[in-house]
Amino acid sequence: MRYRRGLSTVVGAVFFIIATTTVVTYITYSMNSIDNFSQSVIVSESQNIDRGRESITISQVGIVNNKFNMTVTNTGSLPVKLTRLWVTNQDGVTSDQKADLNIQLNPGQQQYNIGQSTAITAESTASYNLKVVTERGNISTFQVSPNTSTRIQLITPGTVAPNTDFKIISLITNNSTTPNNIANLTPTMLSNVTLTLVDGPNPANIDALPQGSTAAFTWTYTAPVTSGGISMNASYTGAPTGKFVLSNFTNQLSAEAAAATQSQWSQAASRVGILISGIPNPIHSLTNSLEYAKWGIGIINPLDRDVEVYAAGVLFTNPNILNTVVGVEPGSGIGLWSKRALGAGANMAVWEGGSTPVIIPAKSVGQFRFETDFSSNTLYESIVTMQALTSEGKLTVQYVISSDSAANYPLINAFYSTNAASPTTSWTYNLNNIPGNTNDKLFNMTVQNAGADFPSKIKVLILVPSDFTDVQDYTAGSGGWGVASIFTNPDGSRIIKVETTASTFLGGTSKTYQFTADTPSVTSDKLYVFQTTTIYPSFTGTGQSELASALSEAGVEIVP
Amino acid sequence: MFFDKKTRRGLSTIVTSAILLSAVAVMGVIVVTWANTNLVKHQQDLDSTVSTNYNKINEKILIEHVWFNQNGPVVNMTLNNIGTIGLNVTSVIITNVTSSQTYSFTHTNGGIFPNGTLSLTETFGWVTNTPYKILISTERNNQFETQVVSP
Repeated sequence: MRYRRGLSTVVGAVFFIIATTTVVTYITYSMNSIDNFSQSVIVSESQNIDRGRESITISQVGIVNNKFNMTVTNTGSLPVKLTRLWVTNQDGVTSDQKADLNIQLNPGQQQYNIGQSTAITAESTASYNLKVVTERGNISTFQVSPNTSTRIQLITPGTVAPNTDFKIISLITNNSTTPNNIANLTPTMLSNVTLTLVDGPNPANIDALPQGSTAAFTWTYTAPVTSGGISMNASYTGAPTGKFVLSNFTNQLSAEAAAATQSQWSQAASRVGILISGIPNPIHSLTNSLEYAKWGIGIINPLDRDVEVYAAGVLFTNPNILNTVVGVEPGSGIGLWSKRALGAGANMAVWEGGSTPVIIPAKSVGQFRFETDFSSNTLYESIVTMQALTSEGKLTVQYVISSDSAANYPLINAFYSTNAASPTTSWTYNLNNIPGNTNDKLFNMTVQNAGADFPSKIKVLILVPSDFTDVQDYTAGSGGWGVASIFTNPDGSRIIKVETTASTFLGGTSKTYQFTADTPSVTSDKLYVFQTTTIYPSFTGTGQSELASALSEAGVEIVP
Repeated sequence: MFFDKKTRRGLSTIVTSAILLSAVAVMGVIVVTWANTNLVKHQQDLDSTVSTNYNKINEKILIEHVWFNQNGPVVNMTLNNIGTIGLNVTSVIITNVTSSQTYSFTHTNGGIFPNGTLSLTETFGWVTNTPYKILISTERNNQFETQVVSP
């Protein structure tokens, strides 16, 4: 019995062990499998959570050197790896472009210039959709387009003065309601009249105008010489059709400015007139003193027909001044220069053509020149009247001269010359046949003291008509002249102000001031006048007046 | 009764015990064998189930970019395997959301390594400015879907 019980127990135990081992093994294996699967689920879920925590923003896109220039910011809480850039041109039928990226961004970090090293090209006039893909599978998109909702504002002055600088400001606002940059924003500005651009646009362009932002661009123009309305049209490159703004304003002189610069010679001559081509002043009146005074009577003829001049002369209201008249132009054989005594009241230097008048051709300037010697033995302030009888009528202009016989009295002539080296032998008041559209044309203006030493500096004012541009001080501090100041008048004409440097202008000497200017472009002959005035700031004392001034109105003929 | 009483009782006990023991052993072996076989099969089923599900949950596709070729009836798409295991794209189904018209495409060479991409070109007459649903199926019967609007 003892043996039977033992055997049964052993058999049962064996089976029990086998069954238990099998079950335990199965359960353990199952538990491990389930645990592995659970781990896998956890890992997968962790990846999904990481994907959800990942966030990138394309904060700005511009176009630089025909390539995208993109800034991407990691706005999430995990490091991000950018793997791909996709670009879709929304305007064309070209295939989409892609570029592989390998850019790591830590949380909060920005990466600039993305796209610059890729082969993807871009045009500022096209619309693009950009897409950046991350390694975890997130996508950020961005729109780049000039064809977006914008607002353009144009700020212009209400009125501008002719030939003056003025500014225009264009404000462009990106009104897009979605993330959208206007890349490489380049403003445009058109006008209905030709304006001279001084500066601008400033800035020339901007890489990107983000949504909701406004860009300001400034231009500086010079208004036309001619008055009139100006209409400006502001837009930008690649703007949708009809996206522009207009602004109108007026280009005209204010009444005050117009009055301040009133001179018929600031513009081209438009009618026949007499020019005070040359008047010496003051006059040293000792008989046969150093040199003669130089006179000129100009006749300007801007008409399309010839003008005949029958007689020209200067009437002196004081008969004691004029002693000798030496005719210079017209020369001998063409009429006659003479001194004509008119009794106690006056005398006259006169040229009379008789039956052979001087013909001044259409669109040209004629001049009558003579020299005089004086015989006054006292101080005179004499009215002189220049006259010319022409086929267009009698022309008259008056001036006043100061004369004295005192030994220290100067005699100042003002004239132009064709040869700066010997101005007193090439003196003239008629600068003719000057080619138009010529840069840096040189002009010689001479001041001559034919009397005694002049204890004063001489200041010269030269009015250059508005059609002449780029007026420059050629002498510029040499030849006894200081550096000139050149001012632009509201009507576009310029005035040169230059002064001799020495405090005394020696008798028997001359100084030639030279300036350059770009001559106007003309299609037919056009006439101008260089109005030249002298001022003697130190010419004061008994019989010496700062009102004294030698004058020269030289005719200038510009030809095509 | 001509058997020895003492001897008959002893033999009977031994034989009976042997018979019983043999029967129990045979039955035990059968039961254990059956149980073992059953458990092994269950283990294999469990293995397969766990492996399949493990692979399925680790299979991820990003439909990275879809673009319509404006020169012809072609749609291109780039798929990115962002999962941790390789996968095999077997079919693409594109549905016109507006008209419910469906276009099916099967692929036999659609394998993508982890972090790899696959570019597919499907030809069908797409209509402009229309939403389309794109359904990608893999060999493991995972499905990934996106929607795009034609230009």
